[in-house]
Amino acid sequence: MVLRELLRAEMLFVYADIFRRKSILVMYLLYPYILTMFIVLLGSSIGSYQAFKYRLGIDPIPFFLTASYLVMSILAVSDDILWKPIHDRMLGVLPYILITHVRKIAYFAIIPIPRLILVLVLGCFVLPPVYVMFYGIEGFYLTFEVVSLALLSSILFITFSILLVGVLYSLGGESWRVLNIIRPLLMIFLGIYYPRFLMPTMMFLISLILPPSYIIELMYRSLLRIATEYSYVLELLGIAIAISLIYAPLSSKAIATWERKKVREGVEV
Amino acid sequence: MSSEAIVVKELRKRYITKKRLGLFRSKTEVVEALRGISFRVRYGEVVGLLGPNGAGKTTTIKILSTILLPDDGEAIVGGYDVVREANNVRKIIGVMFNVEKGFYGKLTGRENLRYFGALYGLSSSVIERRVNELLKLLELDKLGASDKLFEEYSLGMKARLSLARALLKDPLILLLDEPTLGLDPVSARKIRDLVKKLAHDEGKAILYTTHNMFEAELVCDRILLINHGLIVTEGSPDELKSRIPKIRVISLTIKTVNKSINALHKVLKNSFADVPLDIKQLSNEVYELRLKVRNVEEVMNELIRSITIGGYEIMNFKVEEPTLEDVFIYFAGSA
Repeated sequence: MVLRELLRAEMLFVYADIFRRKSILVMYLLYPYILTMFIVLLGSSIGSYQAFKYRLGIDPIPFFLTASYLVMSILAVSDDILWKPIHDRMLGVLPYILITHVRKIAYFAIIPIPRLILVLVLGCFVLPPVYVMFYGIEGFYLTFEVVSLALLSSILFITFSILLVGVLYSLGGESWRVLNIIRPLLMIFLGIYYPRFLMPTMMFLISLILPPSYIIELMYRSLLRIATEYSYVLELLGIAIAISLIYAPLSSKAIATWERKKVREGVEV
Repeated sequence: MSSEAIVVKELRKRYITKKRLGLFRSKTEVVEALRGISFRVRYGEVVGLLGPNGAGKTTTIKILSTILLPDDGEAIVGGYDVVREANNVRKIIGVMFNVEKGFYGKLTGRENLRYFGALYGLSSSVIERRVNELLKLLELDKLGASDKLFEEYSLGMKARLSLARALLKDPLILLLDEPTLGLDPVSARKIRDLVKKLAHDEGKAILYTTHNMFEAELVCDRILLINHGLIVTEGSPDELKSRIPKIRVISLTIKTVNKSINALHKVLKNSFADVPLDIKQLSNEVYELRLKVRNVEEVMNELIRSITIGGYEIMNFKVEEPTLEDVFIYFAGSA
């Protein structure tokens, strides 16, 4: 029951903010298009649209639209989890959050769900126009596939994000500066804009510890029409879920450590 | 159930801070916020923790509300240890810190309360009922603030909402940190009246920090005077006043009527050599004289005679009893 109430609370919190600031809602709708346009224009100015198509076997527009949508859905999770303690501290809400007796791991796990739901719903409106333009009626199927995999990769990113919050904030306090460095690095290592199977070895090795990177690889294999055996699909899914589950107890410990640290230092009121 | 809601024994807390001495150099400083304080709060009473800024009031509230670990000593809230059984303590307390902050600006007052109700683990039906009750009790609905965004709230509304949140779980123990700081008189009075009612009618134990002597006297059944991390004395407001030497202040407003105030000053100094005397000009030819005396009757006749013989006119006259402020200055000075 606590989880249900927590989810209701977070939905109220997120949706009140988004629906009262219509500009945010509009941004959510436009974000994948704006980002795609920016990348394609930048790419065309320094490279060739046709060369991209020739090398990857896919048109850059659906490719980067998918990538941008993935960024948006994964950021919905990581940003909500990573920024919440900073936001709460600035607003003076943190002491009231800490004195609630709900388990903080449950609290952090629930935080990104409302925004994630919104992003997934928006995906059903944002992706089809472009997909249908490029792939015909198959675009609807592709939308379903991309939204489902975006959901899976985002959910599997929750435990890692909580672990990151626990470790980062325990070591250095709640710092948005650190987050601004971590965020783009995550996007690179997840293989969103640069498919993982094309990465240099070092980057590829780092990507192995990030659960969504497996799902994203799967998505790109599908998008680039790379023949993938069913067993390999299951393998990627299995590894991603397993890693995410391994992070669960660690993230719980990390959050507890952060909470202990806050209480030892004294929470700002 | 024990009659004691809060038991604090020899509680100590030190903060280690870094003082910047330049770009690269810094010096570690140790600030002793609490130096072994002990006190008890019973159910059904409002206990005031009264002291100046930096005395250790907020540190005490933070420790009791489990958001700060003490270095030493013991604090039991509702029968639970604040360090070992923090989660149990959290279930039974209501807390109010800085009234200016602590809510989400883009949510209305009602939504904020619903949000925290859910975080406190209350069911939807209980949340709905409590939120409506509290909005009514604190007159936020009357002020039209229930469905207004928190970012549009006045300070008085914020304080009321903050108290409403503290009461959401209907806790038996309330920890209120300067709940009326900066409030308009109407909101401050509303909160003071409610705090007294909650303790006396509903049997809640309330620890109330303030640096406002007047407020402490109005609200608190018992007062703990805290200064530099030590409780310097405690008791009811009347008990505290009775503990300081019986010095009363005779306050006279006089009109000089074309005479020199210096002449009167000289006369009074001769007649009452050991009595501290202050003279303050209020307006043209009108002065206030304040004399601190142990025995009013001994001085009175001679004082009035000296003034009237000199041709001065007495416009107003009163004898002031010691205030809580005098008590505080007396004890804080000796700490």
